[in-house]
Amino acid sequence: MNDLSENIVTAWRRAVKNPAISALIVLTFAIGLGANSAMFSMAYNILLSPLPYADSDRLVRLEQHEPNAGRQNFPSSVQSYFDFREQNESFEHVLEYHAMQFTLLGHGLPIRVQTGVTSWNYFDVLGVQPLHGRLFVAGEDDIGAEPLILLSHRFWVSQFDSDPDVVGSSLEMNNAIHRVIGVLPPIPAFPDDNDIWITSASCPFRSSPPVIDNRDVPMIASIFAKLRDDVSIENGASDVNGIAQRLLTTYPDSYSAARGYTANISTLKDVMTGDSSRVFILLVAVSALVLLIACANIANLNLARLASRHQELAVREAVGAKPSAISRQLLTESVLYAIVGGILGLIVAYFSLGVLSDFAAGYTSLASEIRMDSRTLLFSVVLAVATGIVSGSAAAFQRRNISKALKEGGDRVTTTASGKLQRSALLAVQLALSFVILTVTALIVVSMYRLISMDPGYDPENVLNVSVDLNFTNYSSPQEIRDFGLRLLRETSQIAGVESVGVSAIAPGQGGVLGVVAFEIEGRVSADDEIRPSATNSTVSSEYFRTLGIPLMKGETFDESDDENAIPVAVINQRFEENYFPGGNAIGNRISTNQGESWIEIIGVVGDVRFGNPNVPQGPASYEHFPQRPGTSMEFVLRSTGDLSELGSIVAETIYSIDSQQAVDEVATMNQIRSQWLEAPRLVAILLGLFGVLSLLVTVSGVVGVVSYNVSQRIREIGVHIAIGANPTKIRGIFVRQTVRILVAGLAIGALAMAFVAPGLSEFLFETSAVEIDVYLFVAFLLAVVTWVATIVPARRASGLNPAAALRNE
Amino acid sequence: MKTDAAEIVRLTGISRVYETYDTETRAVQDVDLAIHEGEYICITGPSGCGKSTLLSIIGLLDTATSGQYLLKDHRVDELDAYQRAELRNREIGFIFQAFNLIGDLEVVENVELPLVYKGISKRERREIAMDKLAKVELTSRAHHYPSQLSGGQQQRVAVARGIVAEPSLLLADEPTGNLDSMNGEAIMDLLDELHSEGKTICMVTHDGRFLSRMTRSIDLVDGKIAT
Repeated sequence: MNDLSENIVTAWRRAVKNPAISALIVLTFAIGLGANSAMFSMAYNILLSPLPYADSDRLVRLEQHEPNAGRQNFPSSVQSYFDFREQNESFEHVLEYHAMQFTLLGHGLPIRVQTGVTSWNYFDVLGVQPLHGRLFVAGEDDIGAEPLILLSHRFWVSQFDSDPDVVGSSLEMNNAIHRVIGVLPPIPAFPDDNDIWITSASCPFRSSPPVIDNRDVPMIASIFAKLRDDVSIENGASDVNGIAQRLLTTYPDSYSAARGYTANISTLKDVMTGDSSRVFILLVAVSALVLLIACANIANLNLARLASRHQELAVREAVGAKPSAISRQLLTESVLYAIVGGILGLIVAYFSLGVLSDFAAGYTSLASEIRMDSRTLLFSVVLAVATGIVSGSAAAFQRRNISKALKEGGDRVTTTASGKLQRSALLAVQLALSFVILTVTALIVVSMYRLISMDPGYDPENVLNVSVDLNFTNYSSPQEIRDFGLRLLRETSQIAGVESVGVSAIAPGQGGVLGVVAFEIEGRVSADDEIRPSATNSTVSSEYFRTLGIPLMKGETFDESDDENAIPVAVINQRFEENYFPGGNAIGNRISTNQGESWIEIIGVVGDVRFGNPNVPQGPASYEHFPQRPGTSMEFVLRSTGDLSELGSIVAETIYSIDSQQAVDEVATMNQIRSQWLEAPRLVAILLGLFGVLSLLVTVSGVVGVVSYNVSQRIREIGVHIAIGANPTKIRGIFVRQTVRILVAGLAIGALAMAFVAPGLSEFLFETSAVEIDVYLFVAFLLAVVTWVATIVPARRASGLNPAAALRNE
Repeated sequence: MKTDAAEIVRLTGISRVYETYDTETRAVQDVDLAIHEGEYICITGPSGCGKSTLLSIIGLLDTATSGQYLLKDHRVDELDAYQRAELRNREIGFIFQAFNLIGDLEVVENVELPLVYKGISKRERREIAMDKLAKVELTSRAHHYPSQLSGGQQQRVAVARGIVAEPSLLLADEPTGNLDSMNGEAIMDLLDELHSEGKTICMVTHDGRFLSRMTRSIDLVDGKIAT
């Protein structure tokens, strides 16, 4: 203990004696450890930590698939849900869930609320306790039960100012009075970021007999279940697939063997993590590389500091210190630096949690769980100590020649070759790791740029999108919906500055997934069990394509005469024609989405668009004319020469003037909608860019440190070179050549390492090869320039030395 | 003194002043000195009298604060760093007290170094360097590193390096200072031999034993020439 305290005191004295080098070491540790603490907080809480639910390892999602039709985890009918719930032998509980948009009245302006609809015991099974009031109880999801509402914590705070007295109040929704029975605590926004929760009994669609009885109505978005504690995931999956096979046999009209109908389960952890794990693993890996660079850099600095202490340490040994005591002293110093750096890094990591949480929200609903807790602290401490030991070991366990060190200052003019080799090797490792980080970053930035600059197939400039979901209780007939839509189109087209207005049933970019509809093509054979052609489907108004700048490739688009009394018509996209009419003769053909009961004539072909994830090309799509098939979900798009932010208010006022009880869901420019899809990859690029800059900074400091150290150790040698005729350029050349050799070695190692990294990188890249040679050359050039700059500064100092003083080594 | 021989060095009123924030040290004061071809000059004086500073100025390693220095008719004070380097490489060879060999280079590479800066091809400079090593009887150690040699051997390597580029003037700063008497004698014998072959040598020493070997002795006291 005395030994330790003496080591600490000695370390402190040395740190104070060399404040600049101490600050550099601490800062380097802070960068490496801070980045890793932050990434650990994110990755641990999302990927490794148990879900914030009771018995979360037993929670699963039941999934149904038709792989032969390309349908994965498709929504379930109510009857299927009942079958799985009643017939299984593996689950303690089976829960249903779907989400809907409803209009909430009785609290100021009408509010469109995202509503989670579920079984009465949904929150009981998850182990969630209400913040205020109570949860649903048994029987409250029986048809005819009293309509009840649970408020989400976010909605309660934003809409009710966190007033606990809201419990017990009544709100109107779907033509019924709903009683607020409780407020939920903050929980992950899963499966959706719902405002309120109701039971299935309160959902007018879920509780209607036609929906309940029809096996072909996909009402329930997700079925969740809790495994019995004696049942494994594999057995549970086998159980549900057994039920699926029985359904195939019992109801051949509703479940298709040809489409490969099957069922299995996924753990809730996997579901909530989704495919985000690859992104987090990438970031953790890159931050680990930054730490490795920091370690190599500090090891190098320690070796340099050690060289100037050879005589001091030799004297210590000469007067009786054991070599192990010297090693402990050096390790103590390194670990202390690491701990101080780790504390600084933790502080930075703590303040970056909010940003990281926002970033992670683009990938998983578990983003809300990111926090700094005892595990993060423990991880940070262990990592700091380990990092301190690793970066201090090269110096601590270096062989020391006491007699030589005590004689030092005599005739030798340069450092030992082995010491130089060690430092050069460490610098080469730093450069190699920097090359890997910068290449990964550059590839993702290039990919991001290509994603952003890719033509989405429409023109989002100067276009506003206004979402209106008509309250189905007020608009129950097609005529009422059509009248509202056409009136709003007419009135908004009169607004000053508006060039054109269109409407569609699906929000462009908001989800980006149109409903998939299977259809028949007139004149082509289509057996019942054969896999039918399918396409996404939407309804749009006549000016829709012009408003969004979607080009008409063939035929014509809709006009006013294509109304409810005219022949049903459709416009398709290019992909549709390529897939189903490879001869390019789609126009004039007819398709049916109701197995031949009625037919829709194809009148035009428009260009493909990428409304949603720009990474995903649009599949076959068909558009029907809004007046011929109006729906309550309306997305108005307005192209205007005026100020779009003002236009939003004017459109909202126009809507209220038509129907004061109608809520306006969302107002956003098309550019905003588009940028939402780019936000997550953009943040990944920014984070990686940050790591790239950090690695570059650490590497630059490493190059400067090594070259400066070499200069300081070779002052007499420089004097000799000058004395025998070397000019300043040749003196600089000595150091530049040395660095170039290290740089070439580093780049070679880095390029070799990329051969292992590149295959795993492809999945993150859009239209960019993981071995894009231009990017590799650019990064190599960047590192060469940065290394040259970092070398030339101390090298200039060397070439400017007074040779007489240098020879005296002053 | 061979007054009819060509003048290599002419110093006129040369002074060197070192200034710190509160003191001014006059290392060399108003020195007038000429060195002619074939001379074997010794600069002597007590420790701190400015011997090495004067040698550094002559060797273009340091710059005079005032005065004029002509090296083979070149106004040294008018030269930039590159021109000084070229002139130093061409006209001056050095032998140091501390040998100042480069530890990471083999013996022959150390000897070659001035020729590298002179731009001589590798093959030619290797031949020349080996020839000079033969002269100092160290051919067998050509591929050893300096640390593998004794002090006397290291200084012989330094002598070979000093003469390899055939400089006009060989400057030696206490060449025997780090050697025992036997090795010191051997180095002095080598310098004598070089002088007898026509080399111009200017040596700094405070060892009186070797004064008799010189053609001229310059006594420096407090930075000034006393004799």
